[in-house]
Amino acid sequence: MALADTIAQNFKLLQNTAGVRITYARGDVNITLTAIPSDTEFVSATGDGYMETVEARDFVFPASDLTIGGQPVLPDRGDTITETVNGQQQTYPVTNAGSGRYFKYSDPFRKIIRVHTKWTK
Amino acid sequence: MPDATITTLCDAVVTHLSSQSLSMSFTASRTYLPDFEREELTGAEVSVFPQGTQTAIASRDSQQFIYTLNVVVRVPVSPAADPDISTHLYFAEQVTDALALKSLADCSYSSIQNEQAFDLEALADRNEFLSIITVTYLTIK
Repeated sequence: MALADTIAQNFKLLQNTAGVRITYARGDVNITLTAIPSDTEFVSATGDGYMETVEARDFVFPASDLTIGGQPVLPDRGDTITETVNGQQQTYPVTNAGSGRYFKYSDPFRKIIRVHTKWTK
Repeated sequence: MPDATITTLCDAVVTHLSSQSLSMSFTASRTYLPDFEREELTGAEVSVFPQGTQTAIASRDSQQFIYTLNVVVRVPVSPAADPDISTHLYFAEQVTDALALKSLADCSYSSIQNEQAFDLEALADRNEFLSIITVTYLTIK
């Protein structure tokens, strides 16, 4: 079995055991998929005499799960991910992680993607 | 104990801004520790904090004091591929206009500056319009 398939299969196992249901939205289109939420970090930013922190949260899922209108798409600015945490819905806009893009591939075969979000309400 | 002049100025700026009717409803406050939490920002907020004081000789027996205040305008921006912050920029301009030429707390208005119209990183990373307005006042004592 190719390594790429092994990674995808093992991730499916992880997804089934530790995944949470999320709603991925782009404009008026919503899709539901299962993702592995990663650690929550509080990212600090400083400007001219001020400081600000924001909650950053990444979601990891197979790239092939993200389809809109039957077409595979990649995460982009303006998309949102909604997760239910302790019975409360929290919506995280997709944002870049300081530098770089809004997502990154988690494996060399581009099977799994990690989407960067920040809780900005 | 009386407040420092720069504190009195910050409070006067807050009071003056709060009395204005601008294009967005907002809250204004004075803070010494401008340490914000993004998820707490649900509407327009204006924070005023002291930046510094400069002193120079004005005459043989008087000094000129220049007080610098920072006014931070923060407004949440809806997630979008290409966010429109036109209304936010107008609001920041209104805040600037409200302070321009206005002498407060027995100090004369000196200048106002909005060097960067908005913080690009705050917009890109945190869906937030953030603009810093620096205003200076002077008095002779």
